Amino acid sequence: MASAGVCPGLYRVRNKFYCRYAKDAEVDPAFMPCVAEYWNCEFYKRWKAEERKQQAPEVVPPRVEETSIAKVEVARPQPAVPLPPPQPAPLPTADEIEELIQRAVELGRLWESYEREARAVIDAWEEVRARLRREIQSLEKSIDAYAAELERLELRAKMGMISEEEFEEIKASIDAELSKRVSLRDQLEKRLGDLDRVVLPHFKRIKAAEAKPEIAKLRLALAKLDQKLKSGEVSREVYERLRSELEDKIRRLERIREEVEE
Amino acid sequence: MMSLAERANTVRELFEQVDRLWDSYVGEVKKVLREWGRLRPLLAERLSVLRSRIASNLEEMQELNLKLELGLVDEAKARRRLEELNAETPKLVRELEELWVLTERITRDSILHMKRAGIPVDISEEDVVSKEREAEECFKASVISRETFERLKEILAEQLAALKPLSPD
Repeated sequence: MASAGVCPGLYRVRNKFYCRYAKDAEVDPAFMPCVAEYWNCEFYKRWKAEERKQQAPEVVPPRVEETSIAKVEVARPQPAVPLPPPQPAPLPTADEIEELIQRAVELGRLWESYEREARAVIDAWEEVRARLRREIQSLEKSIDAYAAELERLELRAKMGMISEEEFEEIKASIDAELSKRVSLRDQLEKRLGDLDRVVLPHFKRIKAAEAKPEIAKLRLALAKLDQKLKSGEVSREVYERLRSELEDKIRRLERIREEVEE
Repeated sequence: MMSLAERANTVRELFEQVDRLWDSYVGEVKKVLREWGRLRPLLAERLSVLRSRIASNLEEMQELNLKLELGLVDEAKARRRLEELNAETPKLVRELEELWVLTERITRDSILHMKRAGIPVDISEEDVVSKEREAEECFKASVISRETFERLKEILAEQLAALKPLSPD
């Protein structure tokens, strides 16, 4: 097993990390064993195996001597050439070690900065998400109201209470408002989906580390909430709403924890 | 001294004038009803959105306070959001109360004039009863004040009375 440290195949170009052993592919050291246990990494193992193969002496297949009809020679056994003793890998220089230390320290700094930024984005995401949800809820109400008015209008027209012309005029104006709201709702839902798609990977990464304590905290809050219901401090309605929200969060965090542990 | 024929002609002219006034009244009623028909969907939509938004703000306020007690939210953030909700909700309530009372008053007037003008009424007693229930639910959920609820109840009772068949006198 190699010693703890940074994988020799890892290198950085600006803010991105790449792996020499994975055909210079971009890697995320937070999710790859580049910093700890890199000797378990498949790319590293493959490279190591290649390296061993190259260091081993080349096995030369025995040459078949050319024979001629005129001259027949019996091949005599050649004396075995002793193999040179394996060369010990040169010790890394102090500069190399220092460079690695610096790279590992830099990684730590980058991770901290990533974590800070990701947390800010997640906080903002939760707020924006709640606002979008409220807006979508309002639009749903609006759409329902217009749909009901449209039904009412059709009924009035059927009963002959309004003229055909009047019906068409009001229907056109309701349809226009309705389609504006439906399109806005669809647009917001799409944006919400886009937002979730880009933020969720960061959410998972950040929350993975704190899933366990967070779940414990949420379970404790659930127990307290039960007590509040029993003592009549909260209404059944509020209790049910919050309980379902907390259970949902617990489930989500458990899923994240399972994914990380897998 | 007017002759009998002259007097009879005067009465006939008065009836003709009454007819003209009646036609003009019915014409005006129809005009106002058309305008009301255009406005009603907009009001219905706004009222629906306001009710939903106020109810959701009130729920959020209750939940935020509870989450604060349970230590589930960042206090500074929760307080900021509570301030926002405390500022926004009364404004929405005022708008809802004003528009709701106005809508029901116009509906009551429309029933009265449709009945008088002999135009079929497009609202049933069941509709009014269901509106009463909705107002009561909104009052219980603190979406509207008691004062507004009482005012609405009064107007809805007038709508029900207006829907009853007109007395022969």
